[in-house]
Amino acid sequence: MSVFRWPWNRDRQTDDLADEFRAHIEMAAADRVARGEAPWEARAAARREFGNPGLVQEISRDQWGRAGMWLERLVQDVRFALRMLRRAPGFTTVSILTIALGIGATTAIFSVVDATLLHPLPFPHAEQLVRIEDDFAGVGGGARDVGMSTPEWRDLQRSGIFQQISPMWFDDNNLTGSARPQRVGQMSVAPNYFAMLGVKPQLGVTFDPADATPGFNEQAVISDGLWKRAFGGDSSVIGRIVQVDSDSYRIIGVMPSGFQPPEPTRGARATDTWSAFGFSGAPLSHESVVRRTPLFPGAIARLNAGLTIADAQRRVDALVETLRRQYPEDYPSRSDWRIRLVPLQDYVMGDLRQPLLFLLGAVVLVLGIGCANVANLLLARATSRGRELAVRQALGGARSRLVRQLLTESIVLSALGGVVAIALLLSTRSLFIRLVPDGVPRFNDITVNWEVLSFALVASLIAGAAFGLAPALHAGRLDVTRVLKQEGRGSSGSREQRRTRRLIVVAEFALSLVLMSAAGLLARSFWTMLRAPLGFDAHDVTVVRTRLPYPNDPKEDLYPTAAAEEPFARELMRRIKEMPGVESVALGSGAAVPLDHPERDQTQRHILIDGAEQNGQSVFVTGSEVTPEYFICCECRW
Amino acid sequence: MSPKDPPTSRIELLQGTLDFIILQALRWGPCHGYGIVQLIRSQSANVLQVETGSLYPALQRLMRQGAISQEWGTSSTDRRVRMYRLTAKGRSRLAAERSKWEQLTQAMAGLMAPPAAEER
Repeated sequence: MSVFRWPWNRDRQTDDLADEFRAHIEMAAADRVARGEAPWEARAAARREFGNPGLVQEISRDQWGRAGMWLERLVQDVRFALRMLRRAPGFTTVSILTIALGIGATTAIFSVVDATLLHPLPFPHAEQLVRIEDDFAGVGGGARDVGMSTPEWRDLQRSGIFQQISPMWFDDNNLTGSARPQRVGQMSVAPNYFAMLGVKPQLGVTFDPADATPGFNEQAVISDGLWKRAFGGDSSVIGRIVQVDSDSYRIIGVMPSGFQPPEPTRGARATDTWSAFGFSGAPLSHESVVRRTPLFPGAIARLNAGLTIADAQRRVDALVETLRRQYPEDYPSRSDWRIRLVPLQDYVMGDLRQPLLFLLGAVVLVLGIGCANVANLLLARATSRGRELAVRQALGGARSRLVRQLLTESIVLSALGGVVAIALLLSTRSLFIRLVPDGVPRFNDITVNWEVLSFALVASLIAGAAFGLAPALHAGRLDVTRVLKQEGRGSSGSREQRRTRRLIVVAEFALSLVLMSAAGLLARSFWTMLRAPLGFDAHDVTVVRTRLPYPNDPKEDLYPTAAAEEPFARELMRRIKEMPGVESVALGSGAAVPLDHPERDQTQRHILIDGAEQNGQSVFVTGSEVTPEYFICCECRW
Repeated sequence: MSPKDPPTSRIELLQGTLDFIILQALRWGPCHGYGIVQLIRSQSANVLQVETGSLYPALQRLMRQGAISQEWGTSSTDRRVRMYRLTAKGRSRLAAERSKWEQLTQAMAGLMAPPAAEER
């Protein structure tokens, strides 16, 4: 027995009713024949007695639940809507393309937002991962992320707030010992770095987290990219000795292709080799590792399980307070030294969150304008369909049913637009991906997944309801007699309809204005930025980056002191100057290139100027060392 | 209706009465729609004629309410036909409606008693 009548059973149950009625009529006819009527007469009489089977069937079906009825009507409405749309191919095509454009753009941007902002970083318990940044809040309007010293790192390790903490140090090195010399991005990390992130190599092992070597342990983990590029994906690479600048490293592991270090800059994410460093021994001098002045650019840490970032921040603040009292010389109160914990996801996304959300808002506006356009088209069409709607109402079509049917029509239209948008998105995926700057973190995670598809679906449903509402409500208030009387007369719709159309145009104009002014501001800012005086003339200036070897063993260092570096520097400048076409040449530390990407600026100095004050605060400047020719060379104007 | 039926014998059934009559007819065992019509007609001495347009919606409604269940049998003409059967729920509902009807008929009988008897 079936008490519940599921909608998909309805066809079968309708057949059951038809069978039942047929049997009823046959039995009635048979009884009449038995009573002596002629067979053909009996059958006709039985039919007459039964009544109209179609009608009986319909009122019997009305006894079935409302859910089924609702679905049946929906299917009817959708079928009718498709018929109506097919009858107006021009209107349908234009509307679908308009909606497809809006939904396609919105969904495309959403797929980027989804991959970068909505999904946690691809590490186990990513919510425990933080980046630790040191600030001098009191100087020069607040100097942020100035770097960390080895003693501070040790203090944090002992604090019991973190499971692991790993400082990081970036270098560019020459790698030899593979097929051909390579320029590689090298990242020096604490031995617990990979254990902290919870990532496993695809080949070999990573560093032993318990390794306590103060300097480099001369093991290297390499990226999948370098492994394929320089070693042809050969698995015998494990155990191979390679030269990184002047030092020998043994390769112990290869990271999987999907692994990227969680860093905000493209350069840092393109790291090729990792080496384990204790940050407290050679090649760093003893003075530099016991000093409480920034030595390396911050650290990444994993919080103890169950500790929220806010709780951890409170405990770190308390620790900072103690340290400030303990070392007043290193942390003068006017510098207002603080340690800030930043969720690793925010650190990786950097300044990208706002532009992405801004972009999403912009494409949603575009979708809104598209909706307004289609709503206007629909209203114009409703005017020409006025007679049809009036006739249907005169014949007994319920107003609510008509409204629902018109809404269904616009939602079908919008759903078709969504389908076209997704089809376009999937077929132009590679093209679209190429438009995304590859500086976007987690670029590889951008996909059209179920979340993106459901977003597109919901967006098209909402869009359909939005642009279908006005025409549908107008149909509900249709004046049947007036429309029917206006036979043959051209009409631009009721006064009310005209008013709605004007309102929609106004809304559309307002949306466009917002978009236009935002775009205008953006273009203006860009133009201003292009024309901003840089303070130097970048024309005909070439930058060559190089550095003297800095071997792990200080005894092997050919240039241990500035005095030892001097002959090399002078000779280098003399020879470059002699090259044809060279006008002037200058040397400087890494941070000396103006407006350079600061990603690997470990040579930048933060200088607190004694006695100098600005707005009552100490002045804090960043600086780098240059030779006297530097300002002539880049034609600085000030 | 068949031409044999006298026109005066038809009584419009009150809403709710039909359900009771159908349940009452099914007391004797499972029966198909046509059988129910015949049963009601013969047991009411040709007075009550149930229209198919009332019967079949009522059967669907009773099934939905769980008072009757369906099974498939074969008609006298060898056709697959739906048989209706009282469920336990239907039986208890029938008992409840029966006592209600008995009260009502008694009350009606009292109201319709000849005035002479009243005056006595």
